[in-house]
Amino acid sequence: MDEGMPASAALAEMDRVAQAVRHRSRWYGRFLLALGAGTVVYYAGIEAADRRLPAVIGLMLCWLGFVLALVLWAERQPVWARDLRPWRWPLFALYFATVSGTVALSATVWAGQPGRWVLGVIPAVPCAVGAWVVLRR
Amino acid sequence: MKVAGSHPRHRLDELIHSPVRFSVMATLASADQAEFGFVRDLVEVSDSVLSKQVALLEEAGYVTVRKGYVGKRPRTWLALTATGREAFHRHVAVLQEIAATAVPKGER
Repeated sequence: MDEGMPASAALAEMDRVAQAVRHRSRWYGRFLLALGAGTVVYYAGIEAADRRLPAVIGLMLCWLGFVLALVLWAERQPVWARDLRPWRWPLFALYFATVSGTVALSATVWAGQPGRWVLGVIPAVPCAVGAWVVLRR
Repeated sequence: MKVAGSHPRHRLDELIHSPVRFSVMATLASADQAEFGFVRDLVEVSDSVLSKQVALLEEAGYVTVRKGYVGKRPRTWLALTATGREAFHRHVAVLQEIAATAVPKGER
């Protein structure tokens, strides 16, 4: 076991495991897709709830449950590819900023306007871009 | 008898050069962190073999081991340290040097 392996074999092994790590890290792309799609659905739901408090509260609870389930699922994943590191925090920050901005817009300028759910597409864009980057590798 | 020479192999890291440890280091080099079971399955070794090899790498300061829980299940996470990453990159650079200077079979 302590015998080394030929250089070419070692380099091939390095490629094999790197490929496996990349493949097993594709879950992050699916995570981002689910988050983006969930965000659009949530915005649409909030508009459909039409300020009825029980419906809004129910939707918020569903949203929290959805996000919690996503986070727990992410926690269970066995590997984080290193090449995704530069994307993680910027994507999170961009998502958070766009959610904050669109929530503010829908509560002020667009308050009560039909079609507010379209604002949900804005935070979904960084998720979709991130998912595209992860899944096309 | 001359022991050390100019051949690049003399610059290989003995600790990393073992096939299992090399595979473990290569896996962790492409990952931010990886779960013990994932590394075990990828490298195709038993729990005990991986534990032993990881302990050696940890002792050398190349790998960190973090234990935690996901729900009620204990999980062990492995990651390369900065020293480990540097040592692995140096080792791979030497391997590439060796591979580049190797004469292809057909040209012998």
